Amino acid sequence: MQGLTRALLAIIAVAFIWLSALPPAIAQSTEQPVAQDTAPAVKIDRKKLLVQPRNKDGTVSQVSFFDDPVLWAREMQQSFYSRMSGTLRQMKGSSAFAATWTLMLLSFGYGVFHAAGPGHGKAVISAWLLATESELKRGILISFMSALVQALTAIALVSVLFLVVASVGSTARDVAGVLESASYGLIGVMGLYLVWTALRMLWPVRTPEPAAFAGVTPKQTIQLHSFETFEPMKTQGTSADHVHGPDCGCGHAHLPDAQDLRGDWSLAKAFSLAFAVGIRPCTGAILVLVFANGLGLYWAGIFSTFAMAVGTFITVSAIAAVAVYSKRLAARLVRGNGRLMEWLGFGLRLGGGAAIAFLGTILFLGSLGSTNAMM
Amino acid sequence: MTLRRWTTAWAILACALGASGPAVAHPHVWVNMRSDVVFNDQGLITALNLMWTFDDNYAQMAIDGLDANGDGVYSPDELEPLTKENMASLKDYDYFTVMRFNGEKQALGEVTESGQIWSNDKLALHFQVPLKTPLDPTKGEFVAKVYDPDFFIAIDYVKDDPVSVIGNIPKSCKLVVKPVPTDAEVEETRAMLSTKGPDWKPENNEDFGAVFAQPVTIQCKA
Repeated sequence: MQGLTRALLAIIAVAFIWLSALPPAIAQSTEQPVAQDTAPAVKIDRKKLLVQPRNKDGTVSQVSFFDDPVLWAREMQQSFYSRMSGTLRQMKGSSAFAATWTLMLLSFGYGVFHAAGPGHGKAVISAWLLATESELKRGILISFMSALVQALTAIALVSVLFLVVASVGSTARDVAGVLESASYGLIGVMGLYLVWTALRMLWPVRTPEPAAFAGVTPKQTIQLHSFETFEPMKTQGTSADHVHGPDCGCGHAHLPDAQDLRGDWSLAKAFSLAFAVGIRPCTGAILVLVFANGLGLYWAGIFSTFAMAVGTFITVSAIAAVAVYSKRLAARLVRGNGRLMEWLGFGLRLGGGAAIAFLGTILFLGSLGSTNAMM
Repeated sequence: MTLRRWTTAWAILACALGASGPAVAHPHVWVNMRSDVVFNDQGLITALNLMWTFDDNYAQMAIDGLDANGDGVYSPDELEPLTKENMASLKDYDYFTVMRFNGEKQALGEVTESGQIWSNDKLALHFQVPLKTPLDPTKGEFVAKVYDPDFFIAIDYVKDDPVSVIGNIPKSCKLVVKPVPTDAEVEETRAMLSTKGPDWKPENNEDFGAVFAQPVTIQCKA
Protein backbone atom coordinates (compact mmCIF):
# COMPACT_ATOMS: atom_id res chain seq x y z
CA MET A 1 0.00 0.00 0.00
CA GLN A 2 2.79 2.34 0.95
CA GLY A 3 4.54 1.48 -2.27
CA LEU A 4 1.46 2.43 -4.23
CA THR A 5 1.13 5.79 -2.51
CA ARG A 6 4.78 6.50 -3.13
CA ALA A 7 4.39 5.62 -6.79
CA LEU A 8 1.38 7.90 -7.13
CA LEU A 9 3.23 10.73 -5.44
CA ALA A 10 6.13 10.20 -7.80
CA ILE A 11 3.84 10.34 -10.82
CA ILE A 12 2.21 13.54 -9.58
CA ALA A 13 5.61 15.08 -8.95
CA VAL A 14 6.82 14.17 -12.42
CA ALA A 15 3.62 15.50 -13.99
CA PHE A 16 3.99 18.71 -12.05
CA ILE A 17 7.59 19.20 -13.15
CA TRP A 18 6.64 18.45 -16.70
CA LEU A 19 3.73 20.88 -16.68
CA SER A 20 5.72 23.66 -15.12
CA ALA A 21 8.37 23.15 -17.78
CA LEU A 22 5.72 23.40 -20.50
CA PRO A 23 6.80 26.28 -22.66
CA PRO A 24 4.91 29.38 -23.73
CA ALA A 25 1.83 27.68 -25.22
CA ILE A 26 0.05 27.48 -21.90
CA ALA A 27 1.81 30.33 -20.20
CA GLN A 28 0.87 32.78 -22.95
CA SER A 29 -2.77 31.88 -23.11
CA THR A 30 -3.21 32.67 -19.46
CA GLU A 31 -1.16 35.84 -19.52
CA GLN A 32 -2.72 37.28 -22.62
CA PRO A 33 -5.44 39.55 -21.16
CA VAL A 34 -2.74 41.52 -19.34
CA ALA A 35 -0.98 42.64 -22.51
CA GLN A 36 -4.22 43.79 -24.10
CA ASP A 37 -3.80 47.55 -24.12
CA THR A 38 -0.93 47.73 -26.64
CA ALA A 39 -1.25 44.79 -29.02
CA PRO A 40 -4.58 43.79 -30.56
CA ALA A 41 -6.44 41.20 -28.55
CA VAL A 42 -6.42 38.68 -31.40
CA LYS A 43 -3.59 36.19 -31.15
CA ILE A 44 -2.45 35.18 -34.59
CA ASP A 45 -1.75 31.50 -34.97
CA ARG A 46 1.70 31.05 -36.39
CA LYS A 47 0.53 28.69 -39.07
CA LYS A 48 -1.42 31.58 -40.58
CA LEU A 49 1.76 33.48 -41.33
CA LEU A 50 2.98 33.45 -44.90
CA VAL A 51 6.52 32.97 -43.65
CA GLN A 52 7.93 32.36 -40.20
CA PRO A 53 9.97 35.23 -38.76
CA ARG A 54 13.73 34.85 -38.66
CA ASN A 55 16.06 35.11 -35.69
CA LYS A 56 18.79 37.73 -35.64
CA ASP A 57 21.33 35.28 -37.03
CA GLY A 58 19.13 34.68 -40.08
CA THR A 59 17.85 31.27 -39.04
CA VAL A 60 14.12 30.75 -38.98
CA SER A 61 12.81 30.67 -35.44
CA GLN A 62 11.26 27.32 -34.63
CA VAL A 63 7.66 26.83 -33.74
CA SER A 64 7.45 25.12 -30.38
CA PHE A 65 6.18 21.57 -30.44
CA PHE A 66 3.38 22.47 -28.06
CA ASP A 67 2.16 25.35 -30.20
CA ASP A 68 1.67 23.34 -33.34
CA PRO A 69 3.15 19.85 -33.62
CA VAL A 70 2.47 19.50 -37.34
CA LEU A 71 4.10 22.77 -38.29
CA TRP A 72 6.93 22.03 -35.89
CA ALA A 73 7.59 18.65 -37.48
CA ARG A 74 7.46 20.16 -40.93
CA GLU A 75 9.95 22.83 -40.01
CA MET A 76 12.27 20.41 -38.28
CA GLN A 77 12.23 18.20 -41.33
CA GLN A 78 12.95 21.11 -43.60
CA SER A 79 15.91 22.27 -41.56
CA PHE A 80 17.19 18.69 -41.27
CA TYR A 81 17.03 18.20 -44.98
CA SER A 82 18.62 21.47 -45.93
CA ARG A 83 21.45 20.91 -43.47
CA MET A 84 22.06 17.38 -44.61
CA SER A 85 21.91 17.97 -48.32
CA GLY A 86 24.02 21.07 -47.74
CA THR A 87 26.74 19.01 -46.09
CA LEU A 88 26.64 16.44 -48.86
CA ARG A 89 26.78 19.08 -51.55
CA GLN A 90 29.55 20.90 -49.76
CA MET A 91 31.57 17.74 -49.62
CA LYS A 92 31.13 17.36 -53.33
CA GLY A 93 31.44 21.08 -54.05
CA SER A 94 34.75 21.56 -52.25
CA SER A 95 36.31 18.88 -54.40
CA ALA A 96 34.65 16.13 -56.38
CA PHE A 97 38.00 14.37 -56.23
CA ALA A 98 38.05 14.38 -52.44
CA ALA A 99 34.44 13.23 -52.29
CA THR A 100 35.21 10.39 -54.68
CA TRP A 101 38.19 9.30 -52.63
CA THR A 102 36.24 9.48 -49.40
CA LEU A 103 33.50 7.38 -50.87
CA MET A 104 36.00 4.87 -52.27
CA LEU A 105 37.83 4.57 -48.96
CA LEU A 106 34.58 4.10 -47.09
CA SER A 107 33.49 1.48 -49.60
CA PHE A 108 36.80 -0.34 -49.33
CA GLY A 109 36.50 -0.39 -45.56
CA TYR A 110 32.91 -1.50 -45.87
CA GLY A 111 33.98 -4.35 -48.14
CA VAL A 112 36.75 -5.44 -45.77
CA PHE A 113 34.55 -5.42 -42.70
CA HIS A 114 31.47 -6.65 -44.41
CA ALA A 115 33.10 -9.90 -45.45
CA ALA A 116 34.60 -10.30 -42.00
CA GLY A 117 31.35 -9.30 -40.39
CA PRO A 118 28.89 -11.19 -38.26
CA GLY A 119 27.76 -14.50 -39.61
CA HIS A 120 29.85 -14.20 -42.68
CA GLY A 121 33.20 -14.82 -41.10
CA LYS A 122 32.26 -18.16 -39.72
CA ALA A 123 30.65 -19.26 -42.95
CA VAL A 124 33.79 -18.34 -44.80
CA ILE A 125 36.06 -20.04 -42.31
CA SER A 126 34.00 -23.17 -42.07
CA ALA A 127 33.99 -23.47 -45.82
CA TRP A 128 37.73 -23.14 -45.86
CA LEU A 129 38.30 -25.59 -43.07
CA LEU A 130 36.99 -28.17 -45.48
CA ALA A 131 39.22 -27.01 -48.26
CA THR A 132 42.74 -28.27 -48.54
CA GLU A 133 45.88 -26.23 -48.90
CA SER A 134 46.32 -27.15 -52.50
CA GLU A 135 42.95 -25.56 -53.31
CA LEU A 136 43.76 -22.23 -51.70
CA LYS A 137 44.95 -20.67 -54.94
CA ARG A 138 41.82 -21.71 -56.79
CA GLY A 139 39.65 -20.41 -53.98
CA ILE A 140 41.37 -17.07 -54.00
CA LEU A 141 40.99 -16.82 -57.75
CA ILE A 142 37.30 -17.63 -57.57
CA SER A 143 36.80 -15.22 -54.66
CA PHE A 144 38.37 -12.53 -56.76
CA MET A 145 36.23 -13.35 -59.76
CA SER A 146 33.05 -13.50 -57.67
CA ALA A 147 33.79 -10.13 -56.11
CA LEU A 148 34.30 -8.71 -59.57
CA VAL A 149 31.10 -10.23 -60.94
CA GLN A 150 29.23 -8.97 -57.92
CA ALA A 151 30.49 -5.44 -58.49
CA LEU A 152 29.58 -5.58 -62.18
CA THR A 153 26.09 -6.91 -61.41
CA ALA A 154 25.42 -4.09 -58.97
CA ILE A 155 26.67 -1.50 -61.45
CA ALA A 156 24.60 -2.94 -64.29
CA LEU A 157 21.48 -3.16 -62.15
CA VAL A 158 21.67 0.36 -60.79
CA SER A 159 22.63 1.88 -64.13
CA VAL A 160 19.71 0.24 -65.91
CA LEU A 161 17.41 1.30 -63.11
CA PHE A 162 18.47 4.92 -63.39
CA LEU A 163 18.28 4.86 -67.18
CA VAL A 164 14.70 3.67 -66.95
CA VAL A 165 13.79 6.26 -64.35
CA ALA A 166 15.49 8.96 -66.38
CA SER A 167 13.72 8.06 -69.61
CA VAL A 168 10.34 8.00 -67.90
CA GLY A 169 11.06 11.09 -65.88
CA SER A 170 12.43 13.27 -68.65
CA THR A 171 9.06 13.59 -70.32
CA ALA A 172 7.35 14.93 -67.28
CA ARG A 173 9.80 16.35 -64.82
CA ASP A 174 13.24 17.62 -64.17
CA VAL A 175 15.58 14.70 -64.74
CA ALA A 176 18.04 15.54 -62.02
CA GLY A 177 15.23 16.06 -59.52
CA VAL A 178 13.58 12.75 -60.30
CA LEU A 179 16.88 10.89 -60.13
CA GLU A 180 17.65 12.49 -56.81
CA SER A 181 14.25 11.65 -55.39
CA ALA A 182 14.49 8.11 -56.71
CA SER A 183 17.93 7.71 -55.16
CA TYR A 184 16.81 8.87 -51.75
CA GLY A 185 13.67 6.81 -51.95
CA LEU A 186 15.71 3.71 -52.69
CA ILE A 187 18.03 4.44 -49.79
CA GLY A 188 15.02 4.67 -47.50
CA VAL A 189 13.55 1.42 -48.84
CA MET A 190 16.88 -0.32 -48.38
CA GLY A 191 17.07 0.83 -44.78
CA LEU A 192 13.59 -0.50 -44.08
CA TYR A 193 14.60 -3.73 -45.75
CA LEU A 194 17.61 -4.06 -43.44
CA VAL A 195 15.42 -3.45 -40.42
CA TRP A 196 13.04 -6.10 -41.66
CA THR A 197 15.79 -8.67 -42.15
CA ALA A 198 17.09 -7.87 -38.67
CA LEU A 199 13.67 -8.51 -37.19
CA ARG A 200 13.41 -11.71 -39.16
CA MET A 201 16.74 -12.79 -37.69
CA LEU A 202 15.18 -12.32 -34.30
CA TRP A 203 12.31 -14.73 -34.74
CA PRO A 204 14.16 -18.02 -34.83
CA VAL A 205 16.23 -17.00 -31.80
CA ARG A 206 13.16 -16.05 -29.81
CA THR A 207 11.20 -19.22 -30.48
CA PRO A 208 13.42 -22.12 -29.44
CA GLU A 209 10.63 -24.65 -28.81
CA PRO A 210 11.18 -25.24 -25.07
CA ALA A 211 9.54 -28.69 -25.07
CA ALA A 212 11.86 -30.19 -27.62
CA PHE A 213 14.93 -28.63 -26.06
CA ALA A 214 14.04 -29.19 -22.42
CA GLY A 215 16.92 -28.20 -20.20
CA VAL A 216 18.80 -26.52 -22.97
CA THR A 217 19.59 -22.87 -22.27
CA PRO A 218 19.14 -20.30 -25.03
CA LYS A 219 22.89 -20.01 -25.24
CA GLN A 220 23.23 -23.64 -26.08
CA THR A 221 20.43 -23.41 -28.58
CA ILE A 222 22.22 -20.63 -30.37
CA GLN A 223 25.43 -22.62 -30.41
CA LEU A 224 23.59 -25.52 -31.93
CA HIS A 225 22.05 -23.13 -34.35
CA SER A 226 25.38 -21.69 -35.41
CA PHE A 227 26.78 -25.16 -35.71
CA GLU A 228 24.20 -25.75 -38.37
CA THR A 229 25.76 -23.11 -40.53
CA PHE A 230 28.93 -25.11 -40.64
CA GLU A 231 28.16 -25.90 -44.23
CA PRO A 232 26.80 -22.55 -45.23
CA MET A 233 25.66 -23.31 -48.75
CA LYS A 234 23.92 -26.51 -47.73
CA THR A 235 21.67 -25.07 -45.08
CA GLN A 236 19.41 -23.39 -47.56
CA GLY A 237 15.93 -24.85 -47.25
CA THR A 238 17.05 -27.61 -44.92
CA SER A 239 17.02 -25.66 -41.69
CA ALA A 240 13.79 -23.99 -40.71
CA ASP A 241 15.29 -21.73 -38.09
CA HIS A 242 18.15 -20.34 -40.10
CA VAL A 243 16.71 -19.13 -43.35
CA HIS A 244 19.16 -17.96 -45.94
CA GLY A 245 17.38 -15.43 -48.04
CA PRO A 246 18.88 -12.93 -50.46
CA ASP A 247 19.06 -10.57 -47.48
CA CYS A 248 22.00 -12.44 -46.04
CA GLY A 249 24.03 -9.98 -48.06
CA CYS A 250 27.19 -10.75 -49.94
CA GLY A 251 28.86 -12.68 -47.20
CA HIS A 252 27.29 -16.07 -47.37
CA ALA A 253 27.92 -16.23 -51.04
CA HIS A 254 31.30 -14.57 -51.13
CA LEU A 255 32.88 -17.89 -51.22
CA PRO A 256 32.03 -20.93 -53.23
CA ASP A 257 31.31 -24.06 -51.28
CA ALA A 258 34.38 -26.11 -50.61
CA GLN A 259 32.68 -29.11 -52.17
CA ASP A 260 32.43 -27.34 -55.47
CA LEU A 261 36.14 -26.62 -55.47
CA ARG A 262 37.11 -30.22 -55.45
CA GLY A 263 37.41 -32.48 -58.40
CA ASP A 264 37.87 -31.42 -62.00
CA TRP A 265 39.14 -27.95 -62.48
CA SER A 266 38.51 -25.93 -65.60
CA LEU A 267 38.28 -22.29 -66.45
CA ALA A 268 34.68 -22.77 -67.53
CA LYS A 269 33.83 -24.20 -64.15
CA ALA A 270 35.63 -21.35 -62.42
CA PHE A 271 33.64 -18.85 -64.44
CA SER A 272 30.33 -20.51 -63.77
CA LEU A 273 31.10 -20.70 -60.04
CA ALA A 274 32.12 -17.05 -59.87
CA PHE A 275 29.03 -16.10 -61.80
CA ALA A 276 26.73 -18.13 -59.61
CA VAL A 277 28.18 -16.53 -56.51
CA GLY A 278 28.38 -13.00 -57.85
CA ILE A 279 25.12 -12.75 -59.73
CA ARG A 280 23.29 -11.51 -56.67
CA PRO A 281 24.55 -7.99 -56.15
CA CYS A 282 25.60 -6.83 -52.73
CA THR A 283 23.23 -4.45 -50.98
CA GLY A 284 26.19 -2.38 -49.86
CA ALA A 285 27.34 -1.91 -53.42
CA ILE A 286 23.85 -0.89 -54.54
CA LEU A 287 23.61 1.53 -51.67
CA VAL A 288 26.90 3.19 -52.58
CA LEU A 289 25.98 3.41 -56.26
CA VAL A 290 22.59 4.90 -55.53
CA PHE A 291 24.02 7.30 -53.00
CA ALA A 292 26.79 8.47 -55.33
CA ASN A 293 24.25 8.95 -58.08
CA GLY A 294 22.13 11.08 -55.81
CA LEU A 295 25.18 13.25 -55.27
CA GLY A 296 25.69 13.49 -59.00
CA LEU A 297 28.88 11.43 -58.76
CA TYR A 298 27.99 8.47 -60.94
CA TRP A 299 31.59 7.47 -61.64
CA ALA A 300 32.59 7.78 -58.01
CA GLY A 301 29.95 5.16 -57.28
CA ILE A 302 31.43 2.81 -59.85
CA PHE A 303 34.98 3.25 -58.57
CA SER A 304 33.71 2.75 -55.04
CA THR A 305 31.96 -0.46 -56.00
CA PHE A 306 35.20 -1.85 -57.32
CA ALA A 307 37.01 -0.64 -54.21
CA MET A 308 34.43 -2.49 -52.18
CA ALA A 309 34.97 -5.63 -54.23
CA VAL A 310 38.70 -5.42 -53.61
CA GLY A 311 38.05 -5.01 -49.89
CA THR A 312 35.79 -8.04 -49.76
CA PHE A 313 38.23 -10.08 -51.77
CA ILE A 314 41.15 -9.21 -49.48
CA THR A 315 39.26 -10.23 -46.36
CA VAL A 316 37.94 -13.42 -47.80
CA SER A 317 41.36 -14.41 -49.09
CA ALA A 318 43.01 -13.50 -45.81
CA ILE A 319 40.52 -15.53 -43.81
CA ALA A 320 40.93 -18.37 -46.22
CA ALA A 321 44.69 -18.30 -45.81
CA VAL A 322 44.44 -18.10 -42.04
CA ALA A 323 41.98 -20.93 -42.04
CA VAL A 324 44.14 -23.14 -44.13
CA TYR A 325 47.37 -22.43 -42.26
CA SER A 326 45.94 -22.57 -38.78
CA LYS A 327 42.83 -24.61 -38.70
CA ARG A 328 42.72 -24.79 -34.94
CA LEU A 329 42.74 -21.05 -34.46
CA ALA A 330 39.97 -20.68 -36.95
CA ALA A 331 37.91 -23.37 -35.31
CA ARG A 332 38.20 -21.56 -31.99
CA LEU A 333 37.09 -18.29 -33.61
CA VAL A 334 34.05 -19.97 -35.00
CA ARG A 335 32.95 -21.56 -31.76
CA GLY A 336 33.64 -18.77 -29.30
CA ASN A 337 32.03 -15.87 -31.03
CA GLY A 338 28.89 -17.44 -32.39
CA ARG A 339 26.41 -15.86 -30.00
CA LEU A 340 28.14 -12.52 -29.83
CA MET A 341 28.29 -12.40 -33.59
CA GLU A 342 24.59 -13.14 -33.90
CA TRP A 343 23.65 -10.29 -31.62
CA LEU A 344 26.20 -7.97 -33.13
CA GLY A 345 24.77 -8.74 -36.53
CA PHE A 346 21.24 -8.18 -35.30
CA GLY A 347 22.16 -4.88 -33.67
CA LEU A 348 24.09 -3.65 -36.68
CA ARG A 349 21.27 -4.47 -39.04
CA LEU A 350 18.57 -2.96 -36.88
CA GLY A 351 20.49 0.18 -35.96
CA GLY A 352 22.09 0.70 -39.32
CA GLY A 353 18.87 -0.09 -41.14
CA ALA A 354 16.89 2.37 -39.07
CA ALA A 355 19.52 5.08 -39.57
CA ILE A 356 19.63 4.51 -43.30
CA ALA A 357 15.83 4.44 -43.56
CA PHE A 358 15.65 7.67 -41.58
CA LEU A 359 18.25 9.40 -43.73
CA GLY A 360 16.65 8.19 -46.93
CA THR A 361 13.19 9.25 -45.87
CA ILE A 362 14.23 12.76 -44.95
CA LEU A 363 16.24 13.20 -48.12
CA PHE A 364 13.42 11.74 -50.20
CA LEU A 365 10.67 13.90 -48.73
CA GLY A 366 12.84 16.98 -48.89
CA SER A 367 13.79 16.33 -52.49
CA LEU A 368 10.12 15.83 -53.42
CA GLY A 369 9.47 19.40 -52.43
CA SER A 370 12.19 20.86 -54.58
CA THR A 371 11.26 18.60 -57.49
CA ASN A 372 7.66 19.71 -57.47
CA ALA A 373 8.67 23.31 -57.25
CA MET A 374 10.70 23.00 -60.43
CA MET A 375 7.55 22.49 -62.41
CA MET B 1 17.38 17.47 -27.61
CA THR B 2 17.58 13.75 -28.25
CA LEU B 3 13.92 13.42 -27.39
CA ARG B 4 13.09 16.10 -29.90
CA ARG B 5 15.07 14.37 -32.57
CA TRP B 6 13.32 11.11 -31.99
CA THR B 7 9.92 12.71 -32.03
CA THR B 8 10.84 14.21 -35.36
CA ALA B 9 12.04 10.89 -36.60
CA TRP B 10 8.70 9.35 -35.79
CA ALA B 11 6.76 12.24 -37.17
CA ILE B 12 8.67 11.96 -40.41
CA LEU B 13 8.24 8.22 -40.60
CA ALA B 14 4.55 8.67 -39.95
CA CYS B 15 4.45 11.22 -42.73
CA ALA B 16 6.25 8.88 -45.07
CA LEU B 17 3.97 5.97 -44.35
CA GLY B 18 0.71 7.87 -44.07
CA ALA B 19 -1.28 9.60 -46.74
CA SER B 20 -0.03 12.95 -45.57
CA GLY B 21 3.06 12.63 -47.74
CA PRO B 22 2.09 15.01 -50.54
CA ALA B 23 1.12 17.70 -48.06
CA VAL B 24 4.76 18.07 -47.15
CA ALA B 25 5.70 19.13 -50.67
CA HIS B 26 6.20 22.75 -51.63
CA PRO B 27 4.71 25.20 -52.25
CA HIS B 28 2.26 25.84 -49.47
CA VAL B 29 0.76 29.10 -50.61
CA TRP B 30 -0.09 30.24 -54.12
CA VAL B 31 -0.21 33.92 -54.88
CA ASN B 32 -1.61 35.79 -57.86
CA MET B 33 0.22 39.07 -58.04
CA ARG B 34 -0.38 42.52 -59.48
CA SER B 35 2.13 45.29 -59.09
CA ASP B 36 2.73 48.98 -59.81
CA VAL B 37 6.02 50.70 -60.43
CA VAL B 38 5.74 54.02 -58.60
CA PHE B 39 7.40 57.19 -60.00
CA ASN B 40 7.69 60.56 -58.25
CA ASP B 41 7.19 63.96 -59.86
CA GLN B 42 10.85 64.11 -60.89
CA GLY B 43 10.48 60.92 -62.93
CA LEU B 44 12.43 58.78 -60.45
CA ILE B 45 11.38 55.28 -59.46
CA THR B 46 10.55 55.34 -55.75
CA ALA B 47 8.71 52.13 -54.95
CA LEU B 48 6.96 48.96 -56.00
CA ASN B 49 3.33 48.38 -55.03
CA LEU B 50 2.39 44.77 -54.60
CA MET B 51 -1.05 43.19 -54.42
CA TRP B 52 -1.07 39.50 -53.54
CA THR B 53 -4.28 37.50 -53.94
CA PHE B 54 -4.02 34.20 -52.09
CA ASP B 55 -5.27 30.76 -53.02
CA ASP B 56 -8.55 29.73 -51.38
CA ASN B 57 -7.02 27.13 -49.10
CA TYR B 58 -4.60 29.53 -47.54
CA ALA B 59 -7.21 32.32 -47.42
CA GLN B 60 -9.74 30.18 -45.55
CA MET B 61 -7.11 29.06 -43.08
CA ALA B 62 -5.83 32.61 -42.60
CA ILE B 63 -9.15 34.34 -41.97
CA ASP B 64 -10.52 31.59 -39.78
CA GLY B 65 -11.53 33.04 -36.43
CA LEU B 66 -10.68 36.64 -37.31
CA ASP B 67 -14.27 37.84 -37.58
CA ALA B 68 -14.00 39.49 -34.20
CA ASN B 69 -17.48 41.05 -34.09
CA GLY B 70 -19.12 38.01 -35.65
CA ASP B 71 -20.97 39.93 -38.37
CA GLY B 72 -19.86 37.51 -41.10
CA VAL B 73 -17.64 40.14 -42.70
CA TYR B 74 -13.87 40.15 -42.46
CA SER B 75 -13.15 43.85 -42.38
CA PRO B 76 -9.65 45.27 -42.94
CA ASP B 77 -9.64 46.21 -39.25
CA GLU B 78 -10.33 42.65 -38.22
CA LEU B 79 -7.61 41.41 -40.57
CA GLU B 80 -5.11 44.00 -39.37
CA PRO B 81 -3.49 41.84 -36.64
CA LEU B 82 -2.70 39.18 -39.25
CA THR B 83 -1.46 41.80 -41.71
CA LYS B 84 0.82 43.23 -39.07
CA GLU B 85 2.39 39.90 -38.20
CA ASN B 86 2.75 38.96 -41.84
CA MET B 87 4.46 42.22 -42.70
CA ALA B 88 6.77 41.82 -39.71
CA SER B 89 7.93 38.36 -40.77
CA LEU B 90 8.01 39.22 -44.50
CA LYS B 91 10.48 41.97 -43.63
CA ASP B 92 12.94 39.24 -42.65
CA TYR B 93 12.71 38.00 -46.23
CA ASP B 94 12.92 41.45 -47.84
CA TYR B 95 9.29 40.96 -48.88
CA PHE B 96 10.55 38.52 -51.53
CA THR B 97 11.23 41.62 -53.60
CA VAL B 98 14.51 42.14 -55.41
CA MET B 99 15.06 45.40 -57.26
CA ARG B 100 18.26 45.77 -59.27
CA PHE B 101 19.75 48.81 -60.95
CA ASN B 102 22.43 47.97 -63.51
CA GLY B 103 22.65 44.61 -61.85
CA GLU B 104 23.19 46.08 -58.38
CA LYS B 105 20.77 44.94 -55.71
CA GLN B 106 19.04 47.97 -54.23
CA ALA B 107 18.41 48.58 -50.55
CA LEU B 108 14.78 48.69 -49.50
CA GLY B 109 13.08 51.21 -47.22
CA GLU B 110 10.36 50.66 -44.66
CA VAL B 111 7.06 49.36 -45.98
CA THR B 112 4.54 52.10 -45.48
CA GLU B 113 1.12 51.18 -46.73
CA SER B 114 -0.14 47.70 -46.01
CA GLY B 115 -3.49 46.05 -45.55
CA GLN B 116 -5.60 43.05 -46.30
CA ILE B 117 -8.90 42.98 -48.11
CA TRP B 118 -11.47 40.19 -48.08
CA SER B 119 -13.90 40.47 -50.96
CA ASN B 120 -15.67 38.05 -53.29
CA ASP B 121 -14.32 35.19 -51.18
CA LYS B 122 -10.76 36.20 -52.00
CA LEU B 123 -8.12 37.42 -49.61
CA ALA B 124 -5.62 39.97 -50.88
CA LEU B 125 -2.64 41.55 -49.16
CA HIS B 126 -1.33 44.85 -50.49
CA PHE B 127 1.76 46.77 -49.51
CA GLN B 128 4.32 49.21 -50.87
CA VAL B 129 8.01 48.37 -50.95
CA PRO B 130 9.96 51.64 -51.27
CA LEU B 131 13.50 51.98 -52.56
CA LYS B 132 15.88 53.53 -50.05
CA THR B 133 17.20 55.79 -52.81
CA PRO B 134 14.97 56.76 -55.76
CA LEU B 135 16.41 55.72 -59.14
CA ASP B 136 16.61 57.52 -62.47
CA PRO B 137 15.52 54.94 -65.07
CA THR B 138 17.19 56.87 -67.91
CA LYS B 139 20.59 56.28 -66.29
CA GLY B 140 20.49 52.54 -66.10
CA GLU B 141 18.49 49.38 -66.28
CA PHE B 142 15.85 48.81 -63.62
CA VAL B 143 14.69 45.24 -63.02
CA ALA B 144 12.29 44.09 -60.33
CA LYS B 145 11.63 40.46 -59.46
CA VAL B 146 9.27 39.15 -56.81
CA TYR B 147 9.72 35.52 -55.86
CA ASP B 148 10.34 33.16 -52.95
CA PRO B 149 13.75 31.52 -53.42
CA ASP B 150 12.60 28.55 -51.33
CA PHE B 151 9.43 28.05 -53.41
CA PHE B 152 7.47 27.98 -50.19
CA ILE B 153 5.17 30.56 -51.70
CA ALA B 154 4.49 30.38 -55.42
CA ILE B 155 4.17 33.95 -56.65
CA ASP B 156 2.92 34.47 -60.21
CA TYR B 157 1.71 37.52 -62.05
CA VAL B 158 -1.90 37.58 -63.21
CA LYS B 159 -2.28 37.19 -66.98
CA ASP B 160 -4.13 40.41 -67.76
CA ASP B 161 -2.55 43.75 -66.97
CA PRO B 162 -0.11 42.36 -64.38
CA VAL B 163 1.92 45.55 -63.89
CA SER B 164 1.13 49.21 -64.32
CA VAL B 165 2.85 52.53 -63.79
CA ILE B 166 1.84 55.07 -61.16
CA GLY B 167 3.12 58.62 -61.31
CA ASN B 168 5.35 60.55 -63.67
CA ILE B 169 7.25 58.10 -65.87
CA PRO B 170 9.79 59.85 -68.20
CA LYS B 171 8.50 60.11 -71.80
CA SER B 172 11.36 58.09 -73.28
CA CYS B 173 10.68 55.16 -70.94
CA LYS B 174 8.26 52.29 -70.99
CA LEU B 175 7.32 49.42 -68.77
CA VAL B 176 8.13 45.92 -69.99
CA VAL B 177 6.91 42.79 -68.28
CA LYS B 178 8.25 39.51 -69.46
CA PRO B 179 5.16 37.41 -70.12
CA VAL B 180 4.49 34.14 -68.36
CA PRO B 181 6.91 31.68 -69.94
CA THR B 182 5.41 29.49 -72.65
CA ASP B 183 5.62 25.72 -72.48
CA ALA B 184 8.46 25.83 -74.99
CA GLU B 185 10.39 28.28 -72.83
CA VAL B 186 9.85 26.21 -69.72
CA GLU B 187 11.08 23.19 -71.65
CA GLU B 188 14.13 25.17 -72.73
CA THR B 189 14.91 26.13 -69.14
CA ARG B 190 14.43 22.56 -68.11
CA ALA B 191 16.76 21.30 -70.80
CA MET B 192 19.33 23.94 -69.85
CA LEU B 193 19.12 23.02 -66.16
CA SER B 194 19.39 19.31 -66.83
CA THR B 195 22.85 19.90 -68.29
CA LYS B 196 23.99 21.67 -65.12
CA GLY B 197 25.16 20.06 -61.93
CA PRO B 198 23.33 20.47 -58.65
CA ASP B 199 25.74 23.23 -57.66
CA TRP B 200 24.97 25.45 -60.61
CA LYS B 201 24.05 29.05 -59.84
CA PRO B 202 22.61 31.72 -62.11
CA GLU B 203 24.73 34.72 -63.07
CA ASN B 204 24.77 38.06 -61.20
CA ASN B 205 24.82 36.34 -57.81
CA GLU B 206 21.15 35.63 -58.22
CA ASP B 207 19.68 32.66 -56.49
CA PHE B 208 18.05 29.73 -58.16
CA GLY B 209 14.49 30.96 -57.76
CA ALA B 210 15.32 34.10 -59.75
CA VAL B 211 15.54 31.98 -62.90
CA PHE B 212 11.83 31.29 -62.64
CA ALA B 213 10.70 34.77 -61.65
CA GLN B 214 9.09 37.10 -64.20
CA PRO B 215 11.18 40.26 -64.43
CA VAL B 216 9.59 43.71 -64.62
CA THR B 217 11.85 46.22 -66.37
CA ILE B 218 11.76 49.92 -67.21
CA GLN B 219 13.33 50.45 -70.62
CA CYS B 220 14.31 53.92 -71.80
CA LYS B 221 15.51 55.14 -75.20
CA ALA B 222 18.87 56.83 -74.97
